[in-house]
Amino acid sequence: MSWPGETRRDWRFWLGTVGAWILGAVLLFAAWAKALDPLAFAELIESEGLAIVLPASAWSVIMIVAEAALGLALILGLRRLWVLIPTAAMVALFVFLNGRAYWRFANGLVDEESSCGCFGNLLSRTPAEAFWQDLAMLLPGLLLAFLARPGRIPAERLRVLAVAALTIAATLFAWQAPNLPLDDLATRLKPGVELADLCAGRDTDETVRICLDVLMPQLQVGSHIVVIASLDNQELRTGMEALSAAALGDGPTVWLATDSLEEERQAFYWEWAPPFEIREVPLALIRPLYRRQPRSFQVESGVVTATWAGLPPL
Amino acid sequence: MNVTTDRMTRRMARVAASLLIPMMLLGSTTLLAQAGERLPGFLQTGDYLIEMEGGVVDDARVYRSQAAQAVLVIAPDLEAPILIRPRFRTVEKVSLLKMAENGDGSIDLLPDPTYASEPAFRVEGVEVVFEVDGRDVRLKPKPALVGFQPPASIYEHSPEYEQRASYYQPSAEIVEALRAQGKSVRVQIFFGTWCPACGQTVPGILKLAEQTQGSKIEFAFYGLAREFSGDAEARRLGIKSVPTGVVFVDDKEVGRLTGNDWRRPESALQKLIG
Repeated sequence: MSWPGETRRDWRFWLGTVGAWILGAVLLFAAWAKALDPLAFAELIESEGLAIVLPASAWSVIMIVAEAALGLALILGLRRLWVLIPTAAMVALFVFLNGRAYWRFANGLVDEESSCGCFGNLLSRTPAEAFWQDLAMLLPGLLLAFLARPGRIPAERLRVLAVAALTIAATLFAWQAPNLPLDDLATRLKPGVELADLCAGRDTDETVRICLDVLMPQLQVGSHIVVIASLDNQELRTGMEALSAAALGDGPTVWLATDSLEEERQAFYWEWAPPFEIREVPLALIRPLYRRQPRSFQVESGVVTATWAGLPPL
Repeated sequence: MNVTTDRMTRRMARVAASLLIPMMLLGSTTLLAQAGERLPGFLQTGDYLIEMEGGVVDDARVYRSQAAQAVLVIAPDLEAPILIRPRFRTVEKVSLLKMAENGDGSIDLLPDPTYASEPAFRVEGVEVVFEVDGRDVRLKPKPALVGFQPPASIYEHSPEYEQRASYYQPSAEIVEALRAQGKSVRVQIFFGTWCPACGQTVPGILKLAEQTQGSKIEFAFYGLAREFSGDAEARRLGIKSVPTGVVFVDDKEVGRLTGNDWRRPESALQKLIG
């Protein structure tokens, strides 16, 4: 049976449909990964200079929602130009940003950690990997999606309603995600992870791979509580009395891991004289470990046993 | 002769101050370190040098205690050791009789260690300034150790390295194998005393260097300033980051110790030597 105006379901139709499914799945996964930590995506938008007219946080939600809506539309077979043209524009933007990061890296203008965070903190990729992988995952699907587009789509209105419903849900989720207890899901720091597996960088002629256990070798033995925070973080400052009291007690050894600068560490010391050690950890290593600072975790003999949003319960 | 007399006079003044001033101030110790409180665990730090009246004070030592949340400054030009408690913004003179040195070189302050207060310190950028007997004293970040350095110089500059080296235990089996191997090996370690990662990793290889002394492995430690792109030795060997260890066998580079190699440097070195 065929509908009036419907394209014949030949192999080209199915190739186009499969291309749209693949592209849609990639966009949905990327939207999900970013929606878990929209603040990190907003930081990326800011650093890429894309926060035009609206603040980066607003762009972050708009992009995530658009990506989710287009992804679902493609999966539901809505291969309409009003879906495909914005999708093509989005793919072009991603490829351009990754290409620019790759070019900057190749010319020594940025380090390798500046790759596009298109998959949030879940994946760590070099600029070269980000460029080639995104090109391979997005471009073929996009081109195929234009192939043998159907003239009429069964239950089209229902499919559009489903996309609209998802768009509303994605908006609410991306808006509320920072307040939801999703840290373990959204970051690499979660119970059961070994510090030796929390790493940044790669061993190349230009760069090195470094893991948290090398920078904080003392955590390999005994029980410790580590707070991740910038030294100007208000919650940290408010909780310093309790944190200091815990550090002076008989419980686990307390540490503060921060990417703050030497000058900030000095100023902090002379203000608080904390009874625990402040350890500098590079941003590339520490940023994938939290969505919002402060975040804390417990370590037993080099293995993460608990995590907390904010300061630890003391 | 005059110098000797001056020294004796100064020493007598210190002793007198240590004994008499606490008694004079016995009734007004509310601003001084809390009564009955022992302040333990002052460890020497290489983070600061001391300047007085614009000149660097030789032989000055700065100690820091996490447990006491305080800093102790000892300098020959100061009448008494100075206790700085950042939380209370206080600067106080410490009686020499109230200082106890422990076997590991750390210092404990016995209860009621202070006998006089000075004006509160102030922070100026990365420097800390306070007054002692009307003279300006300045704690300044110590400049980085630069160039080839024997371990003793590194320990003198950054006592934390020696403390951490004492904790690191290289694998005895690998150390034995390294000592027994017959190739002529040279390991040149580039590091920065300003670099936190070096502070964690270089003490381990200093310990290894100590344990392989007398073998055919020679270690050379080369300090770099924060900005080292202009350093000829670093440029010659293409050093991009610190710490980096360049390993030569019979004067030919066979590899480098970088990143996670510092987890167990003896093991990484053994692999490179082959």
